Amino acid sequence: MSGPIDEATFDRLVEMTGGELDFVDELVDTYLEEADGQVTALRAALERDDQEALIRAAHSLKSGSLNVGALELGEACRGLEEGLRQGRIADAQELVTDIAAGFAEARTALLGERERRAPL
Amino acid sequence: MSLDSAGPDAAVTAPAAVLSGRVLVVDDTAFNRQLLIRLLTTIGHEPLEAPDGAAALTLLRDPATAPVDVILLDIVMPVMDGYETLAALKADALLRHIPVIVISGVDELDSVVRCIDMGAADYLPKTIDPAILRARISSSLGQKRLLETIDRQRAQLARFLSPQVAALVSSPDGEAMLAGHRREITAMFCDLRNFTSFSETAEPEEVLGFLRLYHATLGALVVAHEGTLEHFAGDGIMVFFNDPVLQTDHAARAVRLAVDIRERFKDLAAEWRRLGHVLEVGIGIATGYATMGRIGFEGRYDYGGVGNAIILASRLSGEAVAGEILIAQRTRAAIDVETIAVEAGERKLKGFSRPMQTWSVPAADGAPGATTAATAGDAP
Repeated sequence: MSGPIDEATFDRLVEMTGGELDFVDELVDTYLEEADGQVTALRAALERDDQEALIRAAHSLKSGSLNVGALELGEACRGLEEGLRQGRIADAQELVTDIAAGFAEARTALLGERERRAPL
Repeated sequence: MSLDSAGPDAAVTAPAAVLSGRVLVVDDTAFNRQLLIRLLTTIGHEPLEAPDGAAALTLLRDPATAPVDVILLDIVMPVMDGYETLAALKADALLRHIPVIVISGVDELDSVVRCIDMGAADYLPKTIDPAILRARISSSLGQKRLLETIDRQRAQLARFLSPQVAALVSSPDGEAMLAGHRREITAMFCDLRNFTSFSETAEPEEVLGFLRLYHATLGALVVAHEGTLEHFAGDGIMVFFNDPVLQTDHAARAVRLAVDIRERFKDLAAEWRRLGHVLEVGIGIATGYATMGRIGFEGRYDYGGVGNAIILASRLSGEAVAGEILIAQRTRAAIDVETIAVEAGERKLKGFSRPMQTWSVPAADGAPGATTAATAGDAP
């Protein structure tokens, strides 16, 4: 599975909740809402050149993304966070753009998954 | 007939009680809080949540919040991060005993080490595994319950035992000490002159009221002088020094305690004298080797000693006239040369074949035995 959401990780999340899909949907909604805020925060921090805020937003988005199986997105956030901690700020702009795109794909995939499941 | 039916079997096969507790989740991401809270509820814990360290501290310090048993703490958070929160928790006397489990990503092991150095109990990987979550919380809860039990038992013991003995019972080398050891001690025995006639003529309530006051006054002095109280028996009280806690100046301590008791007893006695009861202390002190440890039988042990010094102290107390402190030769030799003691003659004491040289410690105002303030340096 090469999509934006790693199936094994997502299945593990479902298993963790005891297979309660309603609760999984709630969690995904929470993730999408928070992640949306974090992407916005990343853009704003970039504009203000606020390194602290960039690191914080990247860190939060990383852990949430890894939890729902958006592994590539999570890794991109880790790259940004670590780069910034080591003082590499030149490519921050580019990475934030990638992350925003990665998040849009992840969202589509997560919501698409729910659509497929819904009629059953 | 049915001796082996329900009773004993039920006790053996009963499942161990599952520990459940109040768990505070401190994490800035709603996703993590939501997931953890659901998992904790499923395991049987009662979850609470806070979005950052400052909010967590406010919640923990709010008297309306029920006591929290375990804290799950994220490290990277806005407002107040995990390190600051941990430092604040460990600096707070009321919160420092709550076990903190740090939630950390796999790439944050350095942070985990730092947190454990700061007093965190354990850590939990950020990609949460319910089985690990359950095990870590249960282990932290178990440790906390154990510590609470020890604290409670220590407090309960301290109400019944002298502080030194209570500390000994719960110390690592306690068992060996309790099994018995030989040591030089100074024993002080104090009882009351005229107590028997007082208890015959006074009302029982009066006698009990007096004893309560007497025990409270003496008890406080024994603690202040760091003596080990062996027992109160009616008007009699027995105190050891140099055991179980070592005290190089044990003889001098015993004499100082005796002098203080005599001084403080004057105030107590004055009140009773107005009611027509003349009560006075008689104190005996002796120094020597004794075997100290647990004395008694399974189910009822006392901490006590066996030795000539103990018997001698008790005999000297019996010999002492009203208000007198009689000390034995070895105690006299051990105390500081500046402590005034006057010869009080050789006494023939029950249980001792030869007469014993005794000394008396005079009161500042010249109480019994205080004829002359003589005698530094003439002890053999």
